[in-house]
Amino acid sequence: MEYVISPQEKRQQTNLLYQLWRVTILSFKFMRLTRVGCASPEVRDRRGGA
Amino acid sequence: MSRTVILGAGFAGQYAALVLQHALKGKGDHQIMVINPYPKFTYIPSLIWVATNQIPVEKTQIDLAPVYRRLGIDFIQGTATEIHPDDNYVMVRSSEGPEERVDYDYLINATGPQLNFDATPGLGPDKGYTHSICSPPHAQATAQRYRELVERLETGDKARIVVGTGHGDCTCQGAGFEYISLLHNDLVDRGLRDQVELRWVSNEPCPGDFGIDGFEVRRGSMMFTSEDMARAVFRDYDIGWDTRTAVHAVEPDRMHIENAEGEYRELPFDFAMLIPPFKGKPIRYVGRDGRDLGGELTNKAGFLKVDAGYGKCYEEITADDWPHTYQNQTYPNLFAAGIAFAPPGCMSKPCASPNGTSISPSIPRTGYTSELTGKAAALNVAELIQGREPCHSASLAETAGMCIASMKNSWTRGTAAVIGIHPIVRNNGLYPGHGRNLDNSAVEMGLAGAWLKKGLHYAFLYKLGAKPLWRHIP
Repeated sequence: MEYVISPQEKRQQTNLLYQLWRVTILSFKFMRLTRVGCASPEVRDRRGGA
Repeated sequence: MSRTVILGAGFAGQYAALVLQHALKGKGDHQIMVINPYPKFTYIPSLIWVATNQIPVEKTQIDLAPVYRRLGIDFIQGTATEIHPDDNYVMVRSSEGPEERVDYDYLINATGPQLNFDATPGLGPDKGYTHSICSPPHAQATAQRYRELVERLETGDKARIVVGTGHGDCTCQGAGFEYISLLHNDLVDRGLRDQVELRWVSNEPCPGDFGIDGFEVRRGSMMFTSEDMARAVFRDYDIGWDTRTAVHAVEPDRMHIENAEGEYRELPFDFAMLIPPFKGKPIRYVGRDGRDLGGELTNKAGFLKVDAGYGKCYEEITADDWPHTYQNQTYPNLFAAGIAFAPPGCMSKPCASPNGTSISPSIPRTGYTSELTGKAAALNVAELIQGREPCHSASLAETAGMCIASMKNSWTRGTAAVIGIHPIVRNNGLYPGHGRNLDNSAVEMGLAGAWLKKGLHYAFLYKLGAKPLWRHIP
């Protein structure tokens, strides 16, 4: 079944309070992703992975 | 005392200069020199807003000279024409005089791409009939043509708009996706959308592949893919699409396309924005005896080879084949970063039509990814200067990829698709199954994405302008 953007999802996409919550979550997710960036092997070992 | 020359001041070159300057602070008298054809850094991802008349180009740029003056970095506004790796010098055609010789101890090639409009007859704004958003002048010219189109639509005319990739081997499909979404929403806001037929033409295997073999995230018990997202957006926006399609030639009012099944078609248009294929900047690599070293040091597209596993077919390439240190293996004092390094292959499955036309998306490596490669190259140069071995890695099979695709630019009614994946290149050794860490991925659309996109615009310009505390911005 193909995914369709529902009217409820569209309302969520512009709901200010919900989007303030999402921008906080997404900012944390991005910060977490940046931690797996450029590093020396020693630093990566300390972090326990890539 | 050493001298490091950095060619280019885009994401990779500019960040490499800042990182190297910081890494060498207080460690002796070391000189850093940047050579760039333009006096400004341009935040390329925001050119999509310039090309839809939403911001002036000046808002995407910062002057390089004051930044370098403050940091003690030398700057030549010019273009590198030759690299002599045996004798450690580059020839530079500066804007102020004849060609001059610039010696180096270490060289980072971060020159970015040459826009190869010649690969498709009729492609491009200069000698062809399509528009581009890949450089500031192109984005400004596209904005002007779009303004004229809107004026025509306001008189009641109808129009067909085609957006996508202009050759079978293109990359940066994401920028095209952003542009077609912005056009749709701009036309809706102007009340003109019903008069326009929008079509997406791309070399991707499917909508939402973006040249990175797509991506997926978990949503509860469901798996949500980039193809689901792109198809849903295209259906919602009433955009038709042709994927796994190569553009062969462009005429003033139509383009000739071929799909993976080898079927040829004509696609009429009134306004088209097609991303061109990329190739390496036209720099000659010259040996001591005057021999052209280009065949040994660069790949077929002219990008500089680094510490990657080259010469393997798509199925044979593993995570280890992607470069780590970005150091050339013949000349250890030569590095390449950003788009200038030669990747070992594609991320999306390559394809050829029965007629032999290659329809194989190249890998996108702009923005944050370019920065990471520039940072790794700079830190490795710093290690070499201090007598140590390069140990800093930014393998695309280990680093995260982050992208925000702007679809409507507004603080209150905007929307953008937020995409975060780790790693960029599928790494089945680290993450069996999908090759990516689905617990450390993000994909969603909404106003929050539009805020983040604007936030990144200002954060990157702040960071690359080396303003106070710039180092703390990832």
